Amino acid sequence: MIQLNNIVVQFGEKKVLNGITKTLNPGEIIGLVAPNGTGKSTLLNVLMNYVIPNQGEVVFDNKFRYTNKKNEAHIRSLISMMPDQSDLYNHLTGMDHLHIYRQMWSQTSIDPNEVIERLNISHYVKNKTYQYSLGMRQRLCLAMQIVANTPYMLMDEVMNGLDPDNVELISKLLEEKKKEGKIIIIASHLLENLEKYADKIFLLKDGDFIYSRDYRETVLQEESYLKFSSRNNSKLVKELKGFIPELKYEELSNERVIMNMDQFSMDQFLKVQNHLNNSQVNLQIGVLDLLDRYSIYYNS
Amino acid sequence: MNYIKWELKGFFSNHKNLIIFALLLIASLYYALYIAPAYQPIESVNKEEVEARYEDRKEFLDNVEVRNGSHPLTIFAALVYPKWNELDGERLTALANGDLYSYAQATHEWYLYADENIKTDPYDVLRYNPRYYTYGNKHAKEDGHYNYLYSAERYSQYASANYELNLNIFEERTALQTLKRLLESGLPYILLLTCLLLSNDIVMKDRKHPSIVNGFPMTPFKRMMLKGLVALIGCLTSIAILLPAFLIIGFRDGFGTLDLPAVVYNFAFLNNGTYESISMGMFLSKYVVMLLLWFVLIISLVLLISILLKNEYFNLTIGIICFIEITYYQRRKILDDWLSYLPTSYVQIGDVISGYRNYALFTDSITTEKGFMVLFSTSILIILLIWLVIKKKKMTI
Amino acid sequence: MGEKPVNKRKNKVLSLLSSILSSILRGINVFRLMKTIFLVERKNLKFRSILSVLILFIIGSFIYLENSQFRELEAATAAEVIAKNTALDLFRNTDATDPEVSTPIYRNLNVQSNQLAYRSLGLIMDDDTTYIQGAIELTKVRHEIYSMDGYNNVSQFIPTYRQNQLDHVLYTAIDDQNERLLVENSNFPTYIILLLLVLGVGWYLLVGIFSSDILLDEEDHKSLVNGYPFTMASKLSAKVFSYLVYMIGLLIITFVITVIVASIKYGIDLTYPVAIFNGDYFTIAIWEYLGLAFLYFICLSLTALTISIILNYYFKNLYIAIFVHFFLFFVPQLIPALGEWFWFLPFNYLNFSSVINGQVAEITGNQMVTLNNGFIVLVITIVIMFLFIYWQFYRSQIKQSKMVTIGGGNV
Repeated sequence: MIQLNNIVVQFGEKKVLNGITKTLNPGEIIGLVAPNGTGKSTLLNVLMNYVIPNQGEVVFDNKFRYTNKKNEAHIRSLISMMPDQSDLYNHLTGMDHLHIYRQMWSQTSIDPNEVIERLNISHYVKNKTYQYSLGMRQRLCLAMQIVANTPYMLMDEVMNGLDPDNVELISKLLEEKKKEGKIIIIASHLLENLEKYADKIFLLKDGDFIYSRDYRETVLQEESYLKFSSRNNSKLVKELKGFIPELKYEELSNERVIMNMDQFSMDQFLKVQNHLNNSQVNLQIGVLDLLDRYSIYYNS
Repeated sequence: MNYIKWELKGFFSNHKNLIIFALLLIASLYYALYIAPAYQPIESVNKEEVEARYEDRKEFLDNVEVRNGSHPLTIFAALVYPKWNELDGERLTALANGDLYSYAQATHEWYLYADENIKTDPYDVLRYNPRYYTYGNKHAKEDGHYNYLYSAERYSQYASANYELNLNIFEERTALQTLKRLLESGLPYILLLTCLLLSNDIVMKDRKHPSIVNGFPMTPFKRMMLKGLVALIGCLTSIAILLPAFLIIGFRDGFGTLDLPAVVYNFAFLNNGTYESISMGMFLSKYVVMLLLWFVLIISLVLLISILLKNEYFNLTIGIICFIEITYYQRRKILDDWLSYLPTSYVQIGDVISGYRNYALFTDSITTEKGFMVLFSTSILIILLIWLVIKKKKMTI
Repeated sequence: MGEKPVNKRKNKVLSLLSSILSSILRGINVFRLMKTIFLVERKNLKFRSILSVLILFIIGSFIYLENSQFRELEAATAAEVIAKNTALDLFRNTDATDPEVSTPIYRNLNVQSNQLAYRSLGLIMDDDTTYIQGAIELTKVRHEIYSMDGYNNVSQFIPTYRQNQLDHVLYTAIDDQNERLLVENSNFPTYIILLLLVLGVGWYLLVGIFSSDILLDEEDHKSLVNGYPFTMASKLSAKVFSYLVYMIGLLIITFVITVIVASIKYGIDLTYPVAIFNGDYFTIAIWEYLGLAFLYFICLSLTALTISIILNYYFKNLYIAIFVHFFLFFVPQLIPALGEWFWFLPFNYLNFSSVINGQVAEITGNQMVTLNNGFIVLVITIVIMFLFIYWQFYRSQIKQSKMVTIGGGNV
């Protein structure tokens, strides 16, 4: 269990994290979503103690805090961050990298060969890393962390540079790890994927979580929206306004127009549906998905 | 420790380190094959020279007639030559008989007698071996004095030796003696600078891989110490690399034994100190201890400067400590005692252990034990500083 | 279209003007880039470490002079007397007993004894003139011994031909210019001589070490630097210029600090003669010596920079660059025969101190290794190296752009 207690990080005048408080439980994959420069990496760095918060503390397993170097070393045996692919040692092989991670986290680590098989990297892992492509490096980095097998895992942009096959492969692996009771925190801006395997999603803005969602709970009273996107949204909206003058709508940065369902009478709804169908526009009815949320929050 | 294994792997696959090892190997082989055989000791076993001197003086002594009006120099010569020539005669006989033990005994006495007379010569006509008096040597007489008594002590040990003697031992050409000679001249500089070059990126190399190394579950201090240990192992390897050269010299000129004498000078007032022998084994053990202390000191300085300034070039400037001593230790200069508490006063490890430093600098302040103490406490101090800096500082590389 | 000839000419002039303008602008841009690189590099700790080394060196040189017998006449004269006496000893049995058959070399040594005695006397009596006259006469007498039979037997007891010539011109100059005799070493000229002696040995190596990663630090932020909108050549020249500006700056700082401190400590004296070798032996004033050294150091800096660039380009390892610099520097010592035949190769000239005092010419046995030739050889080397570098980078750029178009850009 990881508890974030009122974490404040300030760089000069700028508050990057502004009093974040959250409890993360074992067996969760947490998606941390935000555009660049909003404190996503800072939060991960606070968890690793690479950045020391101006206020607040992180508590692991109810008792461990970053109070001194000794505790730090102990906590780091529980938590690992996926290495950056540019940090690999060019003159060493992938296997060397896996071995050092296995040895450094000897209490929890698992057999590298298992991981190599699982991640399908056996055909290149014995080569020196300077020959690797981006995707190969990325999978090696993940493999290193999986080998370490710490209870808490932090991953920054884990799916970057991967083709769909590998995304699928890794999603499954993360799923398994979650079931083993690990806490996996994934910072990303690749939203579609995240929604598929994350249990919780936090959107970070202005130093705090402005939206959080637990996918294991179904939210009962969520508003439904009518959504469409087309090449010229504004023209369509204008036409719709022709027969519903008081139309409430919102155009998102992902080129989607959303309209709250509650505002329509049955008649109006049918008209709208009809009109859009005639204009050969694909329309959907449903709750707001992550992409919509993201567009709403980070629009300005 | 597995972290050590990892660091060792990095250390021994580091291009720079491999280059250093290769250069060291090439240089040492070159030395063993070309330079060592050309070595011409001043105090050699030179039958012709002894014979020429013997015959000259014999002729003089046979013909001289000391009267009242004789020139004082003639009287002086007639006074000191008989015993001298007797010793030279003994040396020649021993050489002719191949009896190296009696040669050693006679030579021991010869050196004592020669030094005594040259030192007290009232007319300034007697000289040590002319090879000391080359142009520009301002300390020719002191050098001669030291080497004569040094040789006297050496030969007295040979005379009572329980090992086989040979001319290579007399001329200090065996592998162990060659090593000792090197250790008393340029080799310590090479070893210390090698240590610096090998270890100077041990911390800084991590800077290119922060996300891998910063997260290791290990206190930074421990990590530093383990890095230091790896650097130390690496430096010891650099000594092992000199082994082939040692073997070449050994198989060609004999290895010598660890019982061979290593002469140590004990300073006394006006440099009238005594010359004693310790065994070669003892000399080398002391040397290794002091060298290890130096390695620890240099490596810990590298670690400290690395975490403080985070720049490889600053680490290279540590090399200056090898040469600081030159600015304040000069022969014929009256020395302040406190200078001997600077670690830089102990760079020439071999000369410190043999006491030659004290002879050359006319002081009794530089002793092996003090050297151990100074180097040890400096190292501890630096390591303490590392600990403090790490404690105070947020430690990411 | 029927354009009028006037218009055509106008166009021509305009295009000429615009091309001139654009090249000026490009020049300004390169200058701007240079400034950027210089500003970035200035923050580099490497620059500060070199500065701190130089300052430590300056402090050390003062302490050293205080303690050493560097160029102190008393000890030197005493040592010369002993060495000469030992040489005489060699002849005691044959020549000394029978003056009729004594060899010229023995007689020469005896005359040397007399002149040496004048020097000793001059020191004891505090009489400069006696010493100087003795010294001049001594060098004249010695001059003859080098061609005598049996010189090799006594060579280790007397100075070499070169040392004697340097002494000769020095004391003659002191006599001609009515300069005082520097018996002790705590004075301005001796300090400057010591400083330039050590700096002259170390300067090439210092710049070599300092520039050993001149191209490598870009590897760390390749995408940034490669993206600058400049040709490789202008990037490179900007880099070289900024390094050079920094080295010259360091040089000026070092010279200014030492000259100021030394003149406060000892009193300034810029006209005292210094003996040098330049094909011939003669003296120059201290200020000329400083100026020569300054110019020579700049040439050495450029040589070291260009060599570093080439080594970086091919090996991409700063330690290899450092080792090669050291190797080049010590070539004349390691293989003197090389310098005898290849006096026109630059490695003979990397050590200012031993070029200007004729030591390289002495050990290589080739009198062509002079300061003048040093300047010429170094400048030619620098030009050739720059052409080579330009050609190399130009070629690699074409190669690279080809690879990018082919699509295999992952080098």
